[in-house]
Amino acid sequence: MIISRKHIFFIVFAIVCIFVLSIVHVGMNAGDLSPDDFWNAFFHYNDSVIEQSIVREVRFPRMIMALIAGGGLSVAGLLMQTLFKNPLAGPYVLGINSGASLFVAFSIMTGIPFLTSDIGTISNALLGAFIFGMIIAGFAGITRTQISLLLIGIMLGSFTSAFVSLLQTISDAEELKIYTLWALGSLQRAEFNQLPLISLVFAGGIVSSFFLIKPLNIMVMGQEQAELMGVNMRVIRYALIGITALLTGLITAFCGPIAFVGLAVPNLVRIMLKTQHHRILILACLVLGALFVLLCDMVIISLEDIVHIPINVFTSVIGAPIVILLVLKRLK
Amino acid sequence: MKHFLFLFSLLIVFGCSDVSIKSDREKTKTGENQGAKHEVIDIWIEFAQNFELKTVENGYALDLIDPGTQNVEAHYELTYDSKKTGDNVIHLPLDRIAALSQTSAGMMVELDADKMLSGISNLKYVYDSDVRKRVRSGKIVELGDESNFPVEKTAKSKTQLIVYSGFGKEFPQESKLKKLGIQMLPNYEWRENHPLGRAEWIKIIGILCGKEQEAIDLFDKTVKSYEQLKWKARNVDHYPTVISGNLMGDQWYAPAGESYMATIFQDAGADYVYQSSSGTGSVSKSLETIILDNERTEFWLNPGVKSRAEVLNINAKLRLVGPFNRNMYGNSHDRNKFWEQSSFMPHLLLEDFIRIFHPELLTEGDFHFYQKIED
Repeated sequence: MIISRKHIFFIVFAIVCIFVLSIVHVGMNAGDLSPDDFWNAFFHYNDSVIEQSIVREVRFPRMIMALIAGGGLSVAGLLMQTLFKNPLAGPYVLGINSGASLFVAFSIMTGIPFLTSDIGTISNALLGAFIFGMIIAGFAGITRTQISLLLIGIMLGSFTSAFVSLLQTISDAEELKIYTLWALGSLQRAEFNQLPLISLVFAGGIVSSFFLIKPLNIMVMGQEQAELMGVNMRVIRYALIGITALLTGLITAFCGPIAFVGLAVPNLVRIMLKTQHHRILILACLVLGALFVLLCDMVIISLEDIVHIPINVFTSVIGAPIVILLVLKRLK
Repeated sequence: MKHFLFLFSLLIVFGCSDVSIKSDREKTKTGENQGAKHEVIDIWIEFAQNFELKTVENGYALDLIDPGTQNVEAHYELTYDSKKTGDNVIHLPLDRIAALSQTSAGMMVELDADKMLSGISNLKYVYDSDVRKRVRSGKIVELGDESNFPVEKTAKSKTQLIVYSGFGKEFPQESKLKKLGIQMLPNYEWRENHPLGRAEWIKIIGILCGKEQEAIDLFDKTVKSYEQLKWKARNVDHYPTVISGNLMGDQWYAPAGESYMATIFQDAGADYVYQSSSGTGSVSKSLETIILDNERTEFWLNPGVKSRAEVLNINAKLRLVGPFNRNMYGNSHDRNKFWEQSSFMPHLLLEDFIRIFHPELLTEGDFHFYQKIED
């Protein structure tokens, strides 16, 4: 598989756009904030100056989380689509996100103060994602075909949705409110001092996926072909599920569920670049996904004075037509 | 005879009421209700904007007004005439009322009509100890919220009328309940923007419980106390700045400038940060805007939690909101009491706010609904 100039140009252009738009994102509706506030927020931080705190504690983490959520979910979606050879697979299809939702719903409905706190919610989302990731990985060792695993994932998702609905019916108004707000998604929950850890885990997931480029490229030809060519499918499946659980769990923990990004962006990348080379696909998903969520959040910020649109709602509104177009395009 | 009864009733109103601010406006009309078991009296509505009440033959005509359009949203007849029929006819006297709105239940308790309570929404939202006991003993049934309303359980409780918080939509399973002879009446007191307007809804509950005069007397006392307190706070030198609300998701919802809460803040001698915002509902602001607008704000009220630690649990960035480290007051330590009583006791709410903003004006007594939020 050849990496063409077009692919390189696409990725470089997207990186430049991310760089420029990230600055625009942080500076949007600046109002009382001066360029000095932006500079001092990072290089001469004084926490008694409220303008500097705004930049450092509110704006910067939001921008970084938009990039991480977009890039991470898109790469996780790509890995799932390649594993299942199904363009409609996504990071949530294995029930990993459902696991996070179930654990968060359960923690909120218990009414135990720690569990309903920010840290409690994050811990439970991570725990739920990993436990369900492990369950799926367990099934991956038993089932031979991807389609069985896909069906198990969908069933796990249905099971947890039903359980979450049950918890919602027995919870009181306050608990229901907390869960509903969590489910709307937010890029504003992460703290500045949490960013290094989040970035490290995120980088770990992305870098790990690059180690799987060769088997991923072979898997495009089919599972049997891949096994014939010496790919240990069982190990690769575990690895792909592990990376997806890590990225999805991390993002769901800090941002809540963000729909459609992982489904729509990898398909968009494939259509735009017309390649199956996973080095390009992973890089392109990373940058285009980051760009997509960053742009979505910029629209949200620009509309903030008129209406507040939660990120999960906005990505669904944008993502759903894209998926419909994809399905129609494939039917042709 | 007619004239004698009329004069006699007037004497009762003028003579017995210890508050006579509007006593000339509430006159008995027993002469117009020959044969009725209960006296029907003229009831003057002064502050409430969302309902109109007229005395008609053998009862009252109640119009619920849409605050947006000022049109009549629904018309009800509260009548002692048992022969009268119609969709929105509520036959008086009533013996069994289910109050799904906590405020309505509180008003019934205040009117000493809690024995008429047949149902409430949920025990965990009840403040009054007697009502709690009667729920536990099964004399009052829990009916849950409107989403999954138990029709059969309601019928078995011999409920004649359900008073619920209205949201402009038909009550779920309303037609089924009506076929069983159970009437519904929405309570829109929460839509009133003037604190005394909210309190005035006690007059409707008074009619339903056959305690119109008691309701009028209670309301008059409330008006008198409220006005006295408001007057006291009018001449202060410094109007401390105040913010209200908290984050819900990514947005902070604060009361709008013409809202109920903004009105009480103003009456308590405070300078509400979003006083100039238009509207009677709420204004939504981003966290960033809240932080920038409130760097020097002195008070933060109604954060919806009991401690600073809980505020940080909602979002650790809330530590950047100016008054977080200064003065925070809330009612979450006893939320049921607040929801059950504050609507018809706005003078006590005003007293709490004056105690917060101008403690020098009220040297005696203690808080009714609020308390300082500590660590």
